[in-house]
Formats: sequence, structure tokens, C-alpha cells
Amino acid sequence: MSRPNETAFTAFSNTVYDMAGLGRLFDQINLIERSLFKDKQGMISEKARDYLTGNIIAVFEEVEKVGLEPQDDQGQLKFLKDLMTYLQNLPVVKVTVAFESTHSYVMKLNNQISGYLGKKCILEMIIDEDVIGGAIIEFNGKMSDQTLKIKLHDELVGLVEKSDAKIASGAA
Amino acid sequence: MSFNLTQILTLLIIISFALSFLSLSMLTFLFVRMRQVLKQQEEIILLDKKINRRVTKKIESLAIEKIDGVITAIGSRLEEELKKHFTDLSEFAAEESNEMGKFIIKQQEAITRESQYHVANMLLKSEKEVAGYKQTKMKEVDQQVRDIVFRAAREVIGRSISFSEHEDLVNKALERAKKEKIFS
Repeated sequence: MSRPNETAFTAFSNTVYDMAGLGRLFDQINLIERSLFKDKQGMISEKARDYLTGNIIAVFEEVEKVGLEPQDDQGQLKFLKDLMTYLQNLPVVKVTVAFESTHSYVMKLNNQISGYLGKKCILEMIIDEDVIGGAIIEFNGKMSDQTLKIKLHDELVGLVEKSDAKIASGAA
Repeated sequence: MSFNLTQILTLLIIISFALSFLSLSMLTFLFVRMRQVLKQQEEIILLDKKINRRVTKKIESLAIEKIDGVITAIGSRLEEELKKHFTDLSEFAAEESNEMGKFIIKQQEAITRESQYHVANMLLKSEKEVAGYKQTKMKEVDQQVRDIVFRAAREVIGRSISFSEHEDLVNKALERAKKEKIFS
């Protein structure tokens, strides 16, 4: 993959923050791929304008403006395939939280974690009320459980053990 | 002396008459004699029959006497034999009963020993099972109590956390995860 292409792909990846967004982007790219050779000439943004709405057209236009998109059909097809491969290979961080996060919060979280990783990542957001508060963060086979659930559990176990010890000493 | 034919014939006739008379007399005598013999024979037969009857009766009485004697003798002998046999049988039965009693006592002892062992084992096993069951139930109750307390605490804490507090908690979790080098 060439360097200019990677710059162009980053522009696309910066528009997605979680798996749901990534899935939608894949759907849009698949749709563009299917509409590439339908008797239309020009850049992808022009070809796909009738099929798609939203900011993906704007992203294509930006990429086209700086000349990072091929002009021929075959080149454009390869560009789209490479883009799909690039997006599929983005690191995924699984974050389990107790509440339904807003889009802005997911964006903020993604930016923060991408900053920690030093590269763009995609969040796999899981909602599990059992965690109570905090989050479980899983990445690359590692896991960090920073939830109130585990803290509460530890506290309760401590309390039960203390009471058991008291009962045992009382019985003795 | 000469005889004419007529005389001779007359003589011959007279002689023939005489001979006929003689023969007739002889026949009569023989007939009478035969009748006498036949009568005697009948009497003899009758006598013989009488004698036969008497002899038969005598033999019968003698036979009855003899048979009675034999039966009496056999009866008494049989009685003795039976007595002896019953005595032997009762002795045998007593002996067998004695042996059976000993055997039963032995069996009872063995069964008692076995039962005691079995009961002891059962008791031990039951005690273990009860202890295990108690421990399991205690653990279950313990777990249930923990679950109840945990659920209650989760409900209370979960409801009391605001959205911004959730975000703060997640941010703190991220910071700790970073310190744990999850992202490296």
C-alpha cells in the first residue's frame, strides 16, 4: 500500500469510532463498489452521489481534491478494496460499560484510546449493567477490569469473610 | 328110546321157554342189582359231598385260626418295628433340629455382626453425606446472600450514578488500564 493511499484511508477511518460505524462504512463502500461501472465517468464522489448521502461523499471529495484518488475505474476499484482491507485491519478495543454512551462520548473515548495507542482504533462498545460503573477494557488479548462490580464484589467478600471469622470465633 | 319130531320140537320149545325164563330172571336180577348199585353210588356221592363240606369248613376254620395267628404275630411285629422306626425318626429329628438350631444361631450371629458393620458403615456414610450436604447448602446460602446483597447494592449504586459520573468512572478506568500497560 502506497503512502498517499494511507493518508487517504486515514481520512475515512477518522469518520468512524465504533464497530457500528465501521459496519455502516463497509456497507457504503460495498454500495459504491457495485455502482462504479454503471456508465458513469469521473471521480467516485460523482459516481456515488446518487446512491449515497452523508459525509462519506464529502470525504471522497476531500481525497479527490488533494489528488489521492485514482481516476480510472480499475484504479478506483483497487482503491476501494485497499480501503476495505485497511479498515478491517484497524485495531479493535473492546470497552464494556454500564450505560448507553452518546456518539460524542464514543468519539471522545475513541480519540483518547487512539491517543494511548498512537494510532487510530475502533471501539467495540458493550453495554452491561452488571458492571455498575467504570469499564472493562480489552485489547490484544489483555484485559483490565476497572469496574465497580469487581470492587463491590471484593468489598462484599471481605465483609462476609469478616463476619464468618466473627461467627467462628464466637462458636469457639 | 325114540322121540318123534313133534316131541323133539316140543322139547325144544320147552327148553327154549325155560332158557328164556332163565335169562329173563337173570336180567331182572341184574336190573335190580344195577339199581341197587346206582342207589349206593348216589348215596356215596351224597356222603362224599357231605364229607367235602365238613372238610372245607374244617379247613376254613383251621385256616382262619392260622391266619389270625399269623396276622396277630405280624401285627405285633409290625407295631414293634413301627415303634422302633418312630423312635429312630424322632431321635433323628431331634438331632437334626439340634444341628439346625446351632446353624441358625451361627447364622444369626453372623447376620448380627454383618448388620452391625453395615449399620456402622451406613452411619459413617450418612454422616459424611450430611456433612457434605450441609457444607454445600451453606455455600449455596452464602452465595445466595452474596448475590442478594450484590444485586441490591448494584441497584442502589447503579441508579445513583449520573451520566457524568459514569463518564468519570470510565475515564479513570482508562487511566488505570493505561497504567497497567494494556495499550502497549
